[in-house]
Amino acid sequence: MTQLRTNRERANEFQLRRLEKMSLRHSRQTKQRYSFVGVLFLLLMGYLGWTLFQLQVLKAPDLRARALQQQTKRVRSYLPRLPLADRKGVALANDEPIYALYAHPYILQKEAEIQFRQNLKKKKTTLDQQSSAFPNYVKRAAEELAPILKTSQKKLVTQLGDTSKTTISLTRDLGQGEMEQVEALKLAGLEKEMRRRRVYPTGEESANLVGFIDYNGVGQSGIEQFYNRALAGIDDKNRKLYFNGFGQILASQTPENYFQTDDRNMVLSLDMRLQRAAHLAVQQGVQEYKAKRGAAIILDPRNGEILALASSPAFDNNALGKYGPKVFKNWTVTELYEPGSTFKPLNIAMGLDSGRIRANDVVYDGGSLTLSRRTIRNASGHGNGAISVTEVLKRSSNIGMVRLMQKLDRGDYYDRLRALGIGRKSGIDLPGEAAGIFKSKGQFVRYPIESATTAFGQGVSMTPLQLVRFHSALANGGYLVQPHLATKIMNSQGEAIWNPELTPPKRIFSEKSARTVRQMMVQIVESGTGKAAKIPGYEIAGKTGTAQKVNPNGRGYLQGKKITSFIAHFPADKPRYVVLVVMDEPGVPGAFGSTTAAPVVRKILEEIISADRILPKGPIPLPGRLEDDNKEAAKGGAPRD
Amino acid sequence: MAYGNPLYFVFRQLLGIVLGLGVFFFTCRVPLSFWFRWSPLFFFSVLALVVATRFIGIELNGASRWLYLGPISIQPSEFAKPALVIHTALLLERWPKLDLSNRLLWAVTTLAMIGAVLVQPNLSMAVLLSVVLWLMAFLGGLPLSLLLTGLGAGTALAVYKISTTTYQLSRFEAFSDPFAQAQTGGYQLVQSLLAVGSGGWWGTGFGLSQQKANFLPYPYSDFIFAVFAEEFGLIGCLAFLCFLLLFLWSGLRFVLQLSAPKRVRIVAAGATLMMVIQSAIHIAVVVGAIPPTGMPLPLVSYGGSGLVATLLTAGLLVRAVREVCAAPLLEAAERFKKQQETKEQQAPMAPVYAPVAGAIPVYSPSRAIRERRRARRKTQGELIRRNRKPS
Repeated sequence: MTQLRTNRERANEFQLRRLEKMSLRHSRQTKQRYSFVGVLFLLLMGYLGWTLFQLQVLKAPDLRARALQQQTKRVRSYLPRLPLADRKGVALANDEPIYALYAHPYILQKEAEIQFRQNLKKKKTTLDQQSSAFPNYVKRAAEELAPILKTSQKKLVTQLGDTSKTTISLTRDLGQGEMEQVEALKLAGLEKEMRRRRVYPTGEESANLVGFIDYNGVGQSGIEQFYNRALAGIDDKNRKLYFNGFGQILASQTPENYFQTDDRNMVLSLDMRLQRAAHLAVQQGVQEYKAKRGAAIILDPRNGEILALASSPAFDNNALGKYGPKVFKNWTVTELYEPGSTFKPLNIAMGLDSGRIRANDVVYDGGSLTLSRRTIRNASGHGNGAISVTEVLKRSSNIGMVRLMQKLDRGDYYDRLRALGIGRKSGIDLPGEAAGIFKSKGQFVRYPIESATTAFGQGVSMTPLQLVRFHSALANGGYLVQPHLATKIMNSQGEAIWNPELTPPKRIFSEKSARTVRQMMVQIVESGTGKAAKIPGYEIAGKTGTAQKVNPNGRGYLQGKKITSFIAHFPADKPRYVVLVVMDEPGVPGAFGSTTAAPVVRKILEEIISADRILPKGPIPLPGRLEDDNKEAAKGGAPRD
Repeated sequence: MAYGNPLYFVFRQLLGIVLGLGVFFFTCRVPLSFWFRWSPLFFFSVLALVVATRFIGIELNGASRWLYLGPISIQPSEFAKPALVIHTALLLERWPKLDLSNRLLWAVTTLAMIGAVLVQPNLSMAVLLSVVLWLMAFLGGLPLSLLLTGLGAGTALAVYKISTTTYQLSRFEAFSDPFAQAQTGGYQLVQSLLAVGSGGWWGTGFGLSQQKANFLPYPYSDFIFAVFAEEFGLIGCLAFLCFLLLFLWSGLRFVLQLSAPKRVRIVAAGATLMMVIQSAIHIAVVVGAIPPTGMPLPLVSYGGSGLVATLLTAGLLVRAVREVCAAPLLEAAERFKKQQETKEQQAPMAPVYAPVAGAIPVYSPSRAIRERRRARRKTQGELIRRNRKPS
């Protein structure tokens, strides 16, 4: 029994040991295979990690550059350019969409095939008409397009049917309405490209100030050029924007306010009513007096705002093709001239300020004077004898002026001229302003002839606008202001979100001298050379000027060529307008500031009176008397300056 | 996106998550024996559905992988993954005891699933299933000769399939030099590489991928890792790879717990491998290590079927691991019972253990787990740790 049990036990033990062995082997195998799989995956993950390292570190710059190349595009502003308006809200420049239309004949062909196949299904056509499907389609498209595009049908048929080309430009300037018509046709294979066209409602009348933009939307003249960046809406026109794969802009990556649609506009100080009047008056004046060109400037002396600046020849900024590039420059700002007698009141004011000249001084005008071997004469050719300061201005006596200004120390005189700002820019916000030319102090002090010519406005050059600026200092009680056109950029709520940075007004004349000179200038219009500008019932301060023209190609003056001008302050007691009219090389005989420029100024002043409803100061004389006055002014011993 | 509703993906995916989590918790709580019992039904119905896509499926991107059931669409091949894991576990446990004809039968049914997926055509899924199947067989102790034969045959088949299918071939050409045909065949890969490269060391930041804005194809599914790589950079990617390794280790190490039944261990291994290998294939596609193929990143990519199937697989893994951990407990209980029967005097066991042992007469993992949980609740940790490894 025991033996048996032992045997069974043995057998069991053997069996158990075998099982243990097996399970041990099984356990070892499992461990090995487990480790093998583990190592396999370690290697796999290591390989993936290494590949990622290669991509994200070693090749990263190249890949990132490629990615950026497809994600970003440099984009011109989508914003419409800011519109321009005058001080009363009259539109000067607006943006309107305009379309270029392209056709893709290949797509037209495809569309024709598709339509043919559909028709075939509906049994509207037969298979033998397949070859004529495309020509028919093109013909129909051309029929519909031709009246809208205003081209001939034949031309369109050949253009659209030419499948050898991928893209054909049909037109470059299609208006919004016409584009909508085209879209309503629902033709395949057409592509539009929107641009914006600048429209100038006032055209020629304000073109010299507003300027224009080129095809790329960059301002090339006038305000459009000077404020190009501000008008374009953003500082950086060529910004990098992020796009998605469909070519849509990603909003999250786009700078704030990039698509600002707030109706902002730029307001100019211009008054279109006056501008129009000035423009007309200048055009007429230039025609009447056969002048080469002319200009009129109206400035508000209290703050330097330009109310009107008209020049001739003018151009239409809606149709630039007709004009040469010379016209596009605003010569009242870019070109210098010697102001002549219109400069005299400024000299008197300087003299009064220095204390060397008194308002009641009397000087002797002998008709001519020789200094540094050069003889100075009055324009009239004869002397006026002993005359007061007022008379000097009234008769525009050159010798009288020289005598008066000789009382000043020449160095002091020079410093005062410099303080006035001669030889510097006025700071007008128009492109290409010329700085005046003025001698050095050494030369001015050494040669008496220099100060003598300056006394009557020769030998010193400035732009017409700079002269107006100096005169507005007389008009506003002695302050030099900065002339400017743009007054603000306004948002849709009418709030100013930008104002120009202006230099603060600087006192250059004492109030008293300015007033005294203005009173003298009133006499010029009342009974002096400026009679032609007189308007009964109103007090106008004015000064004529007839200057010799500097030879641009060398020394000296051009023989027989003149620049006539007239400057007026109105109303004389508290001027709100300084008006300058300049006529370059008037061709009629006997052309002086009094005969050519003063009547133009008068016309402008009349418009100002009616526009501003300024009441007359005193009783208006009867019409008969007025005629007499004018007659007197017309022949009146040929008032000269 | 062109789906009109900006929250289209969110809602669809939320639906998937709710469904998936339901399936996950269900799977965690149901004993694996349930799955083994119903394995044939599950396996063959999935197989039938996969085959059905050939005939009533919706063709999308040149492959018919979806079945439309009213408003929802399901992708049956996704469910082939858990079905195959359970099926293979069962197969491997029974393999040594089967005769040749039965072995052949099992092998053929298993390979039929892979074949059905392959002819859908869904090459990548077929490859995934084959690789997991092979690794499960490897870990399950099948002889090396058989394994190597299978490997050779599979590779030959894959090469044949790639070289005869035109779109596979052109994809392969584009893969070898993607930048040469960046606008045509290589487009997807190029966009993916650009996205990965844009990430750099630290990435562009969460949500700040540029490439996903309609440059990258399927940035929400097949190339989602490219978006991840762009947004989180190399650091994020390496962290992800480390996480995958950690996941692999935490799931696979239970293979070594020999005290547990083989089929349970194999399910744990298979589920882990299924998820890790799918992730690896996805990443390999994104970085251009293998030719482009549509393989979503499990639990990350958009896709309801994939999410539910993956969570089902994950649930199987969790359940399997629980049962593996419960095995030593059961063993101890058995031993304790035997000791009681032979009445051999030994040092008394911890008192808390007695009711557990007494309550479990046979192998019942779910009960074991329940008891274990109860015991843990009663006697904080200390006793449990002692009980898990009885001397």
